[in-house]
Amino acid sequence: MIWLVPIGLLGLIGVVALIVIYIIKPNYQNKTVSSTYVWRLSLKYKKRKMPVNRLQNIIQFICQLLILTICGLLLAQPVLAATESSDPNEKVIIIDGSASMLVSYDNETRFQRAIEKAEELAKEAFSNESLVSVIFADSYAEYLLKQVDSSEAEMLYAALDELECTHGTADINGAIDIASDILDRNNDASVYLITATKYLNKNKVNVIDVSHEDDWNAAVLNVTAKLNDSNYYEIAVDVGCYGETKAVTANLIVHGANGKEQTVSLQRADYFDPTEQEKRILFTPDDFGSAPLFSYDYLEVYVSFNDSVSDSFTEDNLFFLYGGKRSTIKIQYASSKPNLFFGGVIRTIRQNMRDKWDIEFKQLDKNEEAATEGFDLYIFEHKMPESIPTDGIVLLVNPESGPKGSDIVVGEDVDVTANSSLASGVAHELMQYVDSSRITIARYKEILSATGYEELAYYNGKPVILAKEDGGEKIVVWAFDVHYSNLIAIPDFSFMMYNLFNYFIPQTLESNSFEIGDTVEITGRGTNVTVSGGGVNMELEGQSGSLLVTTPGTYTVTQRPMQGDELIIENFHVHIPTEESDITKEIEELPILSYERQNGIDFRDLILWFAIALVALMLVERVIETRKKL
Amino acid sequence: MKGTYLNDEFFSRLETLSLELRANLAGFFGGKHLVRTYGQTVEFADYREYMLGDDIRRIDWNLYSRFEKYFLKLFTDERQMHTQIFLDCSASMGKNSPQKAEYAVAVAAALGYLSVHNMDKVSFKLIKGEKSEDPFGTLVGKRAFFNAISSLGELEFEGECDLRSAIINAPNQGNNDGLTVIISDFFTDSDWKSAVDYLCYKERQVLLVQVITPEEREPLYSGRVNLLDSEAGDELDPRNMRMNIDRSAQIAYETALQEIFNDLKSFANSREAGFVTVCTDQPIEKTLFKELLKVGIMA
Repeated sequence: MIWLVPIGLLGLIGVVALIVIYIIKPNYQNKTVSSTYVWRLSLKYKKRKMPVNRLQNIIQFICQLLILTICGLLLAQPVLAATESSDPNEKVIIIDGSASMLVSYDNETRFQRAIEKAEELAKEAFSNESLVSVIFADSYAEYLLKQVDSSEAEMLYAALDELECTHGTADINGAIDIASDILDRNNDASVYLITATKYLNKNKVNVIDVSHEDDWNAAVLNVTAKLNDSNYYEIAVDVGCYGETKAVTANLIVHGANGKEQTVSLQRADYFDPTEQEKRILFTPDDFGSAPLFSYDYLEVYVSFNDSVSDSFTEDNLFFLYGGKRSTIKIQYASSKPNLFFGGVIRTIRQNMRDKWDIEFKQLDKNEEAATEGFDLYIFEHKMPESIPTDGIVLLVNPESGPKGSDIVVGEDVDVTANSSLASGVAHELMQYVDSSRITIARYKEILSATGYEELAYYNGKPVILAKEDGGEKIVVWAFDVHYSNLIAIPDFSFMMYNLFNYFIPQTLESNSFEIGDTVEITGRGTNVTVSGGGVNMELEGQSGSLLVTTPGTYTVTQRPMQGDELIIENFHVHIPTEESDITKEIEELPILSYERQNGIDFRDLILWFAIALVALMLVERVIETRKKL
Repeated sequence: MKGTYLNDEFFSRLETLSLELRANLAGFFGGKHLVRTYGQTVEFADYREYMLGDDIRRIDWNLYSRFEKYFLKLFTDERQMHTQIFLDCSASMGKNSPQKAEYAVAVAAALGYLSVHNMDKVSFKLIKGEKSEDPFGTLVGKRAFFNAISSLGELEFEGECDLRSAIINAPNQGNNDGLTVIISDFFTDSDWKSAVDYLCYKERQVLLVQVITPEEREPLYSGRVNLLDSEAGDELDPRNMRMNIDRSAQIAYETALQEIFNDLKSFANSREAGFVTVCTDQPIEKTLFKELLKVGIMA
């Protein structure tokens, strides 16, 4: 036993103090009593002292001595120095479970070779009566088995045989961190990383490369389709070829081109070598000849080779891109005093959102009868319909009356001092980026009652911007005339219209292409939103949800729209992570194994044991004291 | 010692009580105690045949009409008793515990008040050393009693006492004429039993009141202590003790105390004397209304 803080031994002075106290302690203390008559009489009844009673004082003194001694020793932080058990044969095996390990040669994948290698290493360790730990590094590294000995060998082999490679990436950093924990206990343990990735600086990790020299891979890394200024698609295909100098052909098949049930096929070959492993192949509108592409159901892209020899990893040879067929959003603007502002802002939105929506805008003449069904967004200004439409979003601007079903009662116009600012109401996404105090009005329409509406902005305590969302009902009210407001002259007008679109007509998917390991956010704009594909078939609770994709393939999102019976069906494709297609990749260095150097000595803390002894002694001392007083 | 019990409220609570003394006492003429001798009260006691010399006015003519013999109707007599209260004024009764002294004085005062309240005579005999002092003389009537009580509250408890000598040598012992109360802790080597025997010989009714403190009943101190007797003259006095008070010593103390209680009780029973033990932690009302009523000295 050694002392980490030897100066703490000064606490033993307490022992000396105790002895001094016992020495100078008066033997008898005077106690005046009324009469000692009874005490004198009691002497004849007093029993002989038991030996244990005589020992009580001595035992109590010893207990007190030991208590003070332990307190003093605790201050010196006692530890037990022992030579750390060291086993150079202990092995920590990290198995790379990323998609690149699915590369096969001669019908054997890299992952299968990794499993065999791991079993070999385990057998070697078990033959030396050493421990083996296996860490499986997929998207989240964790122990498969930790520090098993030869008695659990069969269990380890069975677990290795059941292990399956994933289509995602490998958390090698996390695996190295976990391995460091083992090295904290045994500095001499060996860490093995079984992978096909090359590391230039291995940082004391034994990297076992299970790749084959003839492995090569050609892949469609990514496909994007963008509308140009002429509203025609320009398609970019990212192709990679690794481990081989080869001409690779990118094949593009357009399904449902331009709204017709026909396919258009295009091909373009390119030459890849180790200096230029990745290239972007562009298919411009000119490549489609006289019928440039402005719409499609989905794009199918795959790579092919002249010699018809398959590459070592086929999972990334095919790529689908959906989203070429935009949903139509119908908008009606009906006003008794039409203005250009609404039309202008909607046309701007149409241009900016042309990748997402096909917006049809219909502006009625002032005497034309407004429709109350068949549109996604109704804008009524001044003159209101008899009843509120129920199949779309309704924006009521300066309503002269409350349409039936709108649950608002409209009062008279109220003139106010010009340039009177509005005040913010409840926080709402419809008012995102909108500063109510920037909006000024000179007249507003008094809303006498608005059942179920949230009040988004006020003038002098009176609501002037309101919103209601109750199931299928989505109504927004601007209770002021834009001619009596500065709204159309400030950016907040555009913000409010954009918010109207983004909030009430959300895009179901952020993208139509995801990688394994991505979390797909799904925001439905209808009901009964279901996701299927990749072994998943689930219905979202409510309109939105998320899905962690782990299997490549095509997924379908289905939802029931607010208007009509035709289901909204949208697809997205999940592909192998781009980085996993590079099966020959080299990484600069592995993370460093960080563990505590033990220098051959392990300090085992004895404070707990001393504390237990201290409590026990204090208990004994208290018991003796109590017995004496009884 | 400054009395805290002796006030109007304390005495007013005693108004409803009276001393219940033996009927075979002789006493003095006057008073309110019914005795066995025949007298002039209205309470019928017995008949006896007419004897020459009897007052013919006391003949019961109704009986003569039935038996044709002369019978006299006899009535009980009421007598005045003399209550003598011996109060142990040694240091053990109050030097170390003023509450004990107050309690003892309160009990003495209560019994004295009941005596004068019942038209009896009372005298307080303060035992100091081997003698008993009678500073107030024989008190009759409440005015004399209250004059005396005001001085009783200033009583000093000191020195030692010899109960036997003080009681036997006390003047005006009386004979068959009342109650003698001895108030002490009885923690003494003095042969007080012979004093009680002497009182019994003098045909006086005897009441022993033992006053103790909670600490005397159950000592809370322990360890190695020098027990200094409050009556001891100096540290070398043999009554002082050096003890290591542990559990066994405390058990022995409890046994010895119980032995004293039992001895007092059996001795009192054998002499037809009343005996009560009171502890100063119990309310004085409990002592008066419960303990003394229980032994039959009060009614």
